[in-house]
Amino acid sequence: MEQKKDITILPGDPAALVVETSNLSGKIKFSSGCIVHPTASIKATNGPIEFGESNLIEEQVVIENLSEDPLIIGPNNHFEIGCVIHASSVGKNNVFGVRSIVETGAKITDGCSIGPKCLVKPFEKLSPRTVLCGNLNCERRSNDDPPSIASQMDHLRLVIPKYNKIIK
Amino acid sequence: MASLYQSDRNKYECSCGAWDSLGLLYFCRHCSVTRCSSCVLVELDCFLCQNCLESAPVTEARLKKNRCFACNFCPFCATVLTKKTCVNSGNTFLSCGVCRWSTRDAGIPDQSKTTTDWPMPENPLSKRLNEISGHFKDLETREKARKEKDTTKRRTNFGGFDASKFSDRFGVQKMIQARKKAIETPASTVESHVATADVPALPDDVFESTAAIQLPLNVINKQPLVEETTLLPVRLPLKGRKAIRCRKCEHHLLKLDYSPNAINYKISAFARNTIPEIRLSRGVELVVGQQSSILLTLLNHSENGMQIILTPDADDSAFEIVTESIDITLSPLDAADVLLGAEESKYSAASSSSSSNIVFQRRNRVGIRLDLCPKVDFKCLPLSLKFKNIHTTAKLETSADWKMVKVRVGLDK
Repeated sequence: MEQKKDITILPGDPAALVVETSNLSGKIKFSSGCIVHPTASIKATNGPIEFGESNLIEEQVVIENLSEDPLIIGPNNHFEIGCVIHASSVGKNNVFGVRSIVETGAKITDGCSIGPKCLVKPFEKLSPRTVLCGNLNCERRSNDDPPSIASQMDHLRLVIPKYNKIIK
Repeated sequence: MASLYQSDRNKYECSCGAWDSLGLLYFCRHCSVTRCSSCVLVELDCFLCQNCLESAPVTEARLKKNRCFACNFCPFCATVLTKKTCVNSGNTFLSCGVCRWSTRDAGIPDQSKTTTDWPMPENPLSKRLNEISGHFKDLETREKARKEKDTTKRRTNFGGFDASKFSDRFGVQKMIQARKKAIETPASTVESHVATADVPALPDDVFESTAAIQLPLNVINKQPLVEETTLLPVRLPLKGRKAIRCRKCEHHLLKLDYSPNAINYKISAFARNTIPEIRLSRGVELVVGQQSSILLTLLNHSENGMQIILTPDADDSAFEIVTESIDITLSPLDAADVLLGAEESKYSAASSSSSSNIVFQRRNRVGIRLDLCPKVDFKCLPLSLKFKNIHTTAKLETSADWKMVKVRVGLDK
């Protein structure tokens, strides 16, 4: 059954860009500066989802809230292509690599970097600046946040409205 | 694509008697024979860094211990590290894009922008190691001098004169003096290690404490004695680029262009460019005692036209020959014609063949049918391939000779 869309886009500068070809369902709130690419799926199945400022959600990303509590995602997170997020909370400045999976109930704090195809187990709590990488899911602690993607976001803000319809 | 993915189905006989697929053979035009990997000389052309493509001559590479001073890889995940600039100070540090390891983690101070060679900490034992290697060099010269003294003939008093009174025209005196000196000077001494009973005890928690962060095994393999916090960047090893020579005439068979950036060959004598390629064009179904046919495709990859006579070998008498031999002329492949879609009639007119076993003929390709009558079930079809190609000889004035190569066509499914 198709769930009713209830999308709130908070005003701000720069404005959030949510394209029409993304798959949104349920109660979702986007703060200013967020960018949602086409074919990204954000499903507030059981509880609502709230995005902080300047989140980048790329193609074929699945972000789903399966619990009844709201899923609050902090600012400046980068969800790379094809990652699957079922986390219960996400902090700020995190990078979710290509096709990485965050299982149900996992808690992601700040400055974490989850490498391509890496897995965060159910109900696991990642401490700040954890790095997961490699096919063995190696875990280590970085002493720096992941590099800023502000310039990439600025470029996308110019390009995306040229080729996509934006939800107002 | 079958020639790429199943290149080992059909084997060609090398001049040394080994069998190999066509793609792995060379053809020496000076000896006019095929060469395989076991009958060529492989030599090191130059050393180069696979990351920055900087090439180094052999002596320099040895001095640098076969490592590139400018490029490093991550000790944690073996990815090549990238240089990052700090926004505040303008200094640079190395960082890994995959696991976010950086030289700051290792406690290495940032370097100025102009640094190309990333500094390496010195081996704490280097002084001792140099001492020992110096001592062994000294021993070597002494031993050599003593051996020379024993083996060379002693010529004293040329006609009553002392040899030392002659002017040292040929440097003999100098040599003798050097040898004398080497023997007479006392040998250098290196203090040897002394066994001690005073060994510090292991900390109590060594077997109990589990590190919060488990290092992957390959990291432990690379730097086994360090903890994660003290992992250091590893200099990228240089790669050797090889050139291949014919073992008999020592002419180059394979040599890359001088510049490491270029990917084209300066000299390439692949057998594929001289010998026609044989492929099975259809799956084979053989019935013992009945006449069956095998469909093959012949390809000419050389730049010249080629005359071919294909004969089945019935040495092992696994089958009875019905098609005695096939005589074909194959035109060369003109890449421009393929691109422009030139008429194929141009090619078919150029080829002349009397055999009725030709299925099709297209550009540099010809499909043939070999009829035979199997006596037993066999998995490998032996063929004799005679070909005449102007490319088989390095001499310009002589006309092309017939060359023969034996081929085994694999009939397995």
